[in-house]
Amino acid sequence: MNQQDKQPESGGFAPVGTWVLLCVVALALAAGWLFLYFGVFLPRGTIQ
Amino acid sequence: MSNDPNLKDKLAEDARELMALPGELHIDPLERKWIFVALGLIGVFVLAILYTAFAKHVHPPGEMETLDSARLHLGGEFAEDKLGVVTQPDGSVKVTLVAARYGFYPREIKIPAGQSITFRIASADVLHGIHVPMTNMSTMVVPGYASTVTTIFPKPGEYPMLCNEYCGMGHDHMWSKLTVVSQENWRSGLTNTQSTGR
Amino acid sequence: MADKSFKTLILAHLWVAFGAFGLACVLGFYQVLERSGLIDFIESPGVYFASVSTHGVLMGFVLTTFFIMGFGYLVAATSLKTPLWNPKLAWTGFGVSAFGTVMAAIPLLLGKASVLYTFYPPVQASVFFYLGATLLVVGSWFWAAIMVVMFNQWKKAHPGETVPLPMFAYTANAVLWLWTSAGVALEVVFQLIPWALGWIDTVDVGLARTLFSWTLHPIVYFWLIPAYIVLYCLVPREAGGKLFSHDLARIAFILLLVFGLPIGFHHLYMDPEQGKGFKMIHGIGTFLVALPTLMTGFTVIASLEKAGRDAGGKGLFGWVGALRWRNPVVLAAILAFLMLIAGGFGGIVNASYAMNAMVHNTAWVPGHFHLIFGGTTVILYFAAAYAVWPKLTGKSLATGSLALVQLWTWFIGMIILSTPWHILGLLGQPRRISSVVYNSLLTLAWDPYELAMIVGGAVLLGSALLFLHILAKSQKRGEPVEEVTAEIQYAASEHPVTRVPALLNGFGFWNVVILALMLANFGYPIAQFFLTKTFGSTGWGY
Repeated sequence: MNQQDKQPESGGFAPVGTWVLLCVVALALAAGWLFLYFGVFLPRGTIQ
Repeated sequence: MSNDPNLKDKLAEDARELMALPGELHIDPLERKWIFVALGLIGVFVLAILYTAFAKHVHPPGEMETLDSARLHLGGEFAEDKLGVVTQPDGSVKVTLVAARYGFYPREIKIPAGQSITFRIASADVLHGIHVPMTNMSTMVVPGYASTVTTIFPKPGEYPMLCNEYCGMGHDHMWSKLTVVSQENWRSGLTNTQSTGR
Repeated sequence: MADKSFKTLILAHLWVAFGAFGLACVLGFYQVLERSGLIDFIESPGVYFASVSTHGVLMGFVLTTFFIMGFGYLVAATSLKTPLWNPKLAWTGFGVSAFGTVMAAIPLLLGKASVLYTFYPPVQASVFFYLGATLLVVGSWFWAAIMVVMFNQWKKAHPGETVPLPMFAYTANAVLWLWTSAGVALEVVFQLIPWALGWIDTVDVGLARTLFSWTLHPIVYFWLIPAYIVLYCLVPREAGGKLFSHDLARIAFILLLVFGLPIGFHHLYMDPEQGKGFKMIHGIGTFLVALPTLMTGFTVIASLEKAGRDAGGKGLFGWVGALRWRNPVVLAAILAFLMLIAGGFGGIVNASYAMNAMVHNTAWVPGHFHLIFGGTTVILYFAAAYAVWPKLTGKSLATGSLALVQLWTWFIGMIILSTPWHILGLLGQPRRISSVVYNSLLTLAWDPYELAMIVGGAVLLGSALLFLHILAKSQKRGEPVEEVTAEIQYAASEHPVTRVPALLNGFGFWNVVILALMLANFGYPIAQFFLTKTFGSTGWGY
């Protein structure tokens, strides 16, 4: 059974709310991490 | 066991099935997109880490180097008269410390800001951790192993070097004093330090 | 499931788990109060570190292991619809674990095992602590064996059929636990016990830490998988819907099993005895294991969205309001996801290779694991208890909306406790200290956060006691439930489950993959201790 088609499953239900919500979460995680990594961690002094 | 043809054939069959897996499953198109977003998110973190590791040499400390913690005092790199801050002939600064209940020895050290400092630390007894708040000077000190960590202190000031691994009842009070002096003061050899608390 | 002695077995496990939990919460509140320095006469490193050690063992070994075993037997029997295999063996395992717990508890409470949850040498505890902890783990191996046997027996009796998802996931958890516990077992059996008994003089601390790190990461997935089973297999039905993606659920559990194991060195980033190369490899592996959690978020939230939309929710987010917020299992799931986002973020930071220097052994670390474990995982354990309690006791939950109050207060308390804790970590406060006073200006910034944490601790303690009260009162005085079947209704799948590939119905292939990954990621790092001359440490007191 090839499910490559673009039609939503289960009688037309596409979890758009979930998709938008989680994309926002992903963006927030990325932004938060990049801020911590390049804005807090590295300015405290490089380490090796 | 690896000569057993049935086992090898079975594994090969499993591997083929693994490759065919994505086509066989029910995956909603939006969820499929989400998986790519998730992998992309992970990719952002991994790429940033790989980039700073290979292009900027940003790494955690660690390469295995053994030593006998019970015999530090008998000579060698961590003998008492060798401890402290030493400016190498090429201008770089090396700090040699011993961690022992309950302090980092020597208890007060001064180093310059804005340049690479290499710390060499050994434990004379149990596990310790050393960390200077608001900086990236951080490493574990494991008995039987020499710790090496290299970092830069951007801001002059007075900092505590705190032990952050449980080492006994005195752990709460295990700390030493680190003074970071500005480059010019260091170079002119002055001991005039600014106490900023941060 | 009508079998009374089976219910007694489960209840015995759950009461040991939750009883340990209640005691540990009292200790936890004492600790946050003591550390603040507010109350002079309770200050004592001796009592504090005995408390932290006991609290850690109760929460991270007793609550978890006993809950997971008890809930596991329940899921096995009810999802496979067969009786428990070899109940005598199950009771034996329970007895061994319980005996071990008591044996370890005595030195812990007497202050003779103040070596903390991680018991890193060369600080040495009473040998009875190590022996007791070993027995606790050995008892759980009986459970794991029973789960694997029931899984295989069912497959033999139903050739070609799909193992029900709850049991597939729980067996993955049993397999995971066997691989996971091997690390600490090696450390305790070959190093710590002979050393504590005086049979060997020294232990290599680097080797001990490496073996412990083998266990230290996957153990959190051992704890997490039962919580995810609640999310996939109970929550959608309680929400009035179905599981959105059954196939991806199976993949998520496989990914957790396979990638959760070979990545322990993110606990050793700051250690000298392992090198940068292996640390980098473990680090990348740690990022990969974030994927099944991100997948779980989508699958379960999509299931909730469908249920919310079917209940009338409109627009992009209207379904959120339309969810059954007054159902304890659904509420717990929503709160769990909120804590999973924050806790997951903290975990990603911890995993980030050199950035670990910013947070290692600071207060950030306990802030993180209280949020992700005490928050996300434990709130789902509460949900599981609320869901199955009527089946086990034959009585309905006696206390109306108190369960909702309990869950909300647990969530709020956890946020109040863990947020300042994370900030203290970024400000450099060490972990595992009984007093926060240093004669250094930088550390004065910590005080307001310590005080805020007391509020969090108090709310959590109240919530924990309320949880125990709800369970006890329901069991004693709840209204009898008339239906006799007491079967557990698991969430149905949105799409009819016909057949799944063999790879998603068994673990033979995956065990081979795990073996290969463990050899690659731990083989040389452990062997190196035997190929070089190392200097061990004798036992130190504290």
